[in-house]
Amino acid sequence: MKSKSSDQTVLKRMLQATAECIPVERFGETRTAAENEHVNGCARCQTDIALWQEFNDAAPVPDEGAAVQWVVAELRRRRQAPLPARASGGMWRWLLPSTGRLVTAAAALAGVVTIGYVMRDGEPAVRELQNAPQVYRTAQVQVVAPVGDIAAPPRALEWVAVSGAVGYDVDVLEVDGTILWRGTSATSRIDLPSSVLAQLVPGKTVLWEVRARSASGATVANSGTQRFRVELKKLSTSFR
Amino acid sequence: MVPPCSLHVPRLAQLQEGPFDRQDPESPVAAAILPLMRLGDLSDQELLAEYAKRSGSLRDAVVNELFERHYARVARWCLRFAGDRDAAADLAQDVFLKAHRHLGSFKGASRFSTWLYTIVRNESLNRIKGGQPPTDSEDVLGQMAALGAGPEELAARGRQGQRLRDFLSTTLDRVERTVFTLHYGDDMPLDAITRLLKLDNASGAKAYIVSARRKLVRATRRLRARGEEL
Repeated sequence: MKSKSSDQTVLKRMLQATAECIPVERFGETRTAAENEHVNGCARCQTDIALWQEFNDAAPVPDEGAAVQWVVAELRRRRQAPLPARASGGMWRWLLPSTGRLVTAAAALAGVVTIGYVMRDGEPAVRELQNAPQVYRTAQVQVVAPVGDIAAPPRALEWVAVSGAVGYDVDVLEVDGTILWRGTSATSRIDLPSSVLAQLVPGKTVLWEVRARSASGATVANSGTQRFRVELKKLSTSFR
Repeated sequence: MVPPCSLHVPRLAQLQEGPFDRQDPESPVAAAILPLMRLGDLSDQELLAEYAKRSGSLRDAVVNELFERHYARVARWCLRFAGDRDAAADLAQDVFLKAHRHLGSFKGASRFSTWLYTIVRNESLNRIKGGQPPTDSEDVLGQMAALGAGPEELAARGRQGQRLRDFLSTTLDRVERTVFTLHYGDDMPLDAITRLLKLDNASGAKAYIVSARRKLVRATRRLRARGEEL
């Protein structure tokens, strides 16, 4: 008679990835028709792709934001915590296997740090780029807005017109380089579509770049990567 | 506090020797240019290229910037997986420990975020391995085995794995397949699945397991009625 654990072991083996399954490195790439056919019939691939998409999805669920900020603050705190005398290896010495250690002892301090962190702002300032690296860009598009921390989501991106340019290519990106939207404009401004506006949630840093194009199609100037973020509303009330 | 990603600004007179990408990465000019570049302006790929060329505090600054921009994403996953903040912070710390140890071996075959995802996922599943396999009040597998060929018999056949995958694909909907695979394939607890997949129904992943079980039992009966087996 088969046991339940035996059944589970066999089923578990059947549900593991096979040689035909898409490696995770290729999840973000265009798949061939044969690969798509495999994915459509493979619960393993569908599951792994679903999890990967959840990882990349930046949208927090309700009531999750504060806890995520706490964990981020804790990571920063541990990174900057005073080091044990025997530790060595550079500023990343804080990255020692943790697994439950120090948690209890750090809880009170972390609570104080977190409350202060959340009440102050919760996010570091996004730096504006007035002193941007002119030295390594031969021709630069001067951006007007948005840059740095801003109070409300921008309706448009604006820059200073470049002499000789007949058009502009604009990219809006996630901080990891994922392209959110691409557009073109004949003027020194481009309105953001609603699909992008919907993603400009408070606290989320977004990058953008504009490239000036000549009549021949060549890029004649580049803004470099700009970043902005809609400010989180500061918490002014105390915890009760 | 966030570590500084934009360091001391050097005198521009030092920067007249040539384009940055033709500089010796250890030269004083290159070392002067790196702070000017503002690490926040660089893509993940550009930061990784800088990491390969730098050492000491400049390298630390590059790693800081690279990891900092992925903190929230990793924290969110760890929180959903672990279910509480302290455990999530421990898991996230171990993820970045592993990432830091292996950063030099990352060859850019995928996005950095995808590479980081593989570490997050593996670290998460490693935590499960130390625990017990999932248990359900619903004996899904026992019922399937009783109604059709049992999994052990199926395992003895050459194509049984693919047939089961096909069976799952044609019988279950997308969420049911995902929950079923994570729970029985990866031993992932149902509450972690509920949070990771952001399932907002009342009983979360449990409801999908129950639903999947009913569908599989019915489909197995239909197979038997036609004289077929899995």
